[in-house]
Amino acid sequence: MRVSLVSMPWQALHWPSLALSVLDTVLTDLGCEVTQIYGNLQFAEYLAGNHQTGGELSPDDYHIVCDTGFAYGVGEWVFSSALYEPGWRLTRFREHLEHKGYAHADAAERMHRLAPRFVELTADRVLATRPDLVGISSAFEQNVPSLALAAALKRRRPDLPIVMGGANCDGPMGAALHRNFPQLDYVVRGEGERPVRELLEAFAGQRAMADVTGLCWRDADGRAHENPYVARPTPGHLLPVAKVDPFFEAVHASPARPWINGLALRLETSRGCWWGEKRQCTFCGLNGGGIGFRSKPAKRAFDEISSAVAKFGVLDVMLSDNILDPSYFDTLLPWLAALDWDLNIFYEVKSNLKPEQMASLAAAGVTTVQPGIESLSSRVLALMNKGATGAAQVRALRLFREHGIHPMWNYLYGFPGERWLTDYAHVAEQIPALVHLPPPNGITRVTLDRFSPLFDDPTLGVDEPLLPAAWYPLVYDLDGEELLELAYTFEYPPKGIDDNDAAKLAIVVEQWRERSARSSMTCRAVDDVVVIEDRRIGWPARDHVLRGARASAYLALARHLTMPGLLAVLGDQPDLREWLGEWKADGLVYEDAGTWVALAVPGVRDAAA
Amino acid sequence: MPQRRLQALRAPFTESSAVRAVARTFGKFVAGPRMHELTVQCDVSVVGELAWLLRDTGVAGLRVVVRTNGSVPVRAVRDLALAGVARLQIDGHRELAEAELPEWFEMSKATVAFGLPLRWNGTMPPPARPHARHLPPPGNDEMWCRDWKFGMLGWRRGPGFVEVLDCRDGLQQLTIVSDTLTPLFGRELNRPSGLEGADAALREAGLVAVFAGRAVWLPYRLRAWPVNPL
Ligand code: B12
Ligand code: SF4
Repeated sequence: MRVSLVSMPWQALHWPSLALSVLDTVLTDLGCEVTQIYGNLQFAEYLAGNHQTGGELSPDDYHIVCDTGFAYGVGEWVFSSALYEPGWRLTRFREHLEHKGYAHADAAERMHRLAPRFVELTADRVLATRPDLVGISSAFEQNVPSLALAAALKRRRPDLPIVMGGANCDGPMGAALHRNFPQLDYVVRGEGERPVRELLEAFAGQRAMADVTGLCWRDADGRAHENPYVARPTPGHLLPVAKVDPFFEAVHASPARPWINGLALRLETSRGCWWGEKRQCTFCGLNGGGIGFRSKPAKRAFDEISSAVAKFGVLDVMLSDNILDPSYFDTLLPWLAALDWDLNIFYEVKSNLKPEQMASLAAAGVTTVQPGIESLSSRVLALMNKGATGAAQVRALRLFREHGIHPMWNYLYGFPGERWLTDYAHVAEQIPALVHLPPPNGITRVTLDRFSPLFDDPTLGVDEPLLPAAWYPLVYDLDGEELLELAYTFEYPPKGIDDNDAAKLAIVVEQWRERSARSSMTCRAVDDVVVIEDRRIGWPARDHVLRGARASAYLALARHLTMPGLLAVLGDQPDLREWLGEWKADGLVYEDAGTWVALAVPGVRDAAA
Repeated sequence: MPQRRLQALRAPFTESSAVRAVARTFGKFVAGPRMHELTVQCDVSVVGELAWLLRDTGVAGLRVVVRTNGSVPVRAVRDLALAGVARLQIDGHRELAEAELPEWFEMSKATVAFGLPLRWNGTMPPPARPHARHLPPPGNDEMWCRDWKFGMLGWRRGPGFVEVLDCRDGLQQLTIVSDTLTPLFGRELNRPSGLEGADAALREAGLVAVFAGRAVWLPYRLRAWPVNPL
């Protein structure tokens, strides 16, 4: 059987689609002849062609929509011209973009005009591979482009079976897509490894369609059926090796290549989340079915990463894991370090790493992490079930700075039950003391995503009737009930702090971002003296010299400790409270919920130039 | 019990006397001006030994500045960096002569690669200047200082290949098979070669320069990220 797998816009251009890469392996192992089609690259090429012929668009416009469009449905609307008709709800959509202050509306409208022709060309390309089955993968803003392609294929070859899967098809979303879009013969919900095998068995008459895990399908009369949605996550040792060759072949030959800087490998070493398994963070949209943690045996993970780096000559590796497997600290990471390659690896990690674990990450070439800092207030962290305290998060930022690892994070706010006075005022007040530590990218009001506890459990505080994000009704020609089933992000009346308070937080965070590159605060412990050199913007340049018991107390606060905790380390220390007060006034420590942590970064070097 | 835990907290920082003793053995030793600072001034001929011993003692929390009078060998740069020395300083105003450039370039590359700040004052012969924009600038050259950023021209080791990131004029990424380079410049690409290293294409690309009949591989090894010098 010949299978063509397609990834449409707006999948990023810098790396392979992991869905296509792993499904290729699964299908090839089942004896299929597989072609991967990077429709996203082809759209960028289409824009590049348009650029060369004097048009006003280029692949840079692709990057912009890919990076900024998700929150406003821009990428989806661009392709509504191909799914419905050119000019689809144009005025209302432009008003929506204007209301949101979206800066690239003109480019989006131009792309909207180009999309129908592009979809026809893509359908030609897909059919040129003479497929017996077409599989389309949809996540983020790939729904409308994928539905448009499926419709174009059906117009040409009504008998060609089309199956769609991916993060947009999980749970009720997949069933809604299937019900409302007859161009989709099948929709696979959840992980694909097992359903794909079972679907091929069903094609071969060895199994009933009703017996394919989680499948949505149609019977001979065209009636839609929805098999029970049961999670059957692929075990770690069976996670397929990603076949990324087709992406690299395509991108290297692509006329859009000059617009794509910094190619990266995209691989996975695990799925699910060992933290969420126990206590899922309330905003996290990881599906209950897929949340069970499974990782690849370390040796396999190592072989896959190292051989892909060697084969494609790419040292930048993005791992798709939701959270690093802690057992890799003793296996995969030291093995990667021993290679002595200058890798640049991205991993998501839990923030409560020990200093030696940070060192191990850095040695292996993990340069960028997403550590789930989210907030610096214990109460808000508890509201979101993060399992961390504010002081622990600050300590993590300090350790990342010390180990030269770049943490990517956003300050999340808007959790039901939070209050400015108890949960933010003291953070905003202390942020000027943190300017030498890695700042957040910005502040973000928490979004309400399907599968998250906030979405599923009204007792957590969002108890109003659900409303899909504003752009869904502008993009889809569907009624409200169906949109409720199809949508992934939802609107709700703002909770927690209001926009005025958020603006206060935004101001100090922006200041943090501006000041961080030029700020430093290091400490050196020489014999029984601690010297803290404060060179933070906004503070007097000054050296603090702490001696004897004060020095010991400051060193002890390398870990975040409560007052009883500190006393347990130091023994009886009557002046402790006074010292802490002084240090807080000088911005040498951070305090949250009765827990203290030192802010100065142990330093050895001077600034570079 | 609390006492033992405190000692553990301080363990990596103890014994500044050991560092002072090493410093005293090799050169003029200046404590201060601040209590946690220490400057060791020594002849370049003994920097290697000093560095080797400091690697053993560490710096015990002190800000140790090493001052010397010539191009420090790459291995010593590495040891000073691993010891935790705060910076390396070359004394005087150096009018660099062409003949000493290969060693100077290798020292400069090594300081960036290992993250050891290098301070110096002086000038470079004009034909060499365009090849040195990515290396630590002399403090007296304002323009060079202003334009310098970490990561302007570096290489990364991959299996069987070397990736060059050149951000001197826009971003260029280049992959070169290791076998074409390591026989000439050594595994770390930090050993000047004879004229056989002066490959025309590499010179054209600004990756190799020839000084006094010796070819130098210009990029330093990039070990720290994120690099965003554009
Ligand atoms: C790695 C990752 C990223 C990376 C890389 C993303 C990329 N474009 O390549 C980064 C950090 C850049 C990122 C960014 C974003 N991400 Co993200 N990301 C992930 C993550 C953690 C893993 C994705 C992955 O590769 N998984 C492994 C692969 C193998 O799984 P898969 O793609 O789901 O495919 C399996 C099945 O879905 C199925 N399948 C897939 N396609 C098909 C097709 C067929 C025919 C069949 C039969 C089956 C099938 O089989 C596959 C194998 O089992 C997921 C969470 C998760 N655990 O899935 C979120 C996730 C995909 N991201 C999400 C979001 C919202 C975003 C952002 C929009 C965030 C933001 N607000 O900016 C951006 C958008 C970026 C963009 N435009 O490309 C959401 C998507 C929700 C949705 N409905 O689509 C997810 C699900 C997380 C979540 N629950 O919130 N992300
Ligand atoms: S946010 Fe991260 S740590 Fe929390 S449950 Fe989701 S994947 Fe796990």
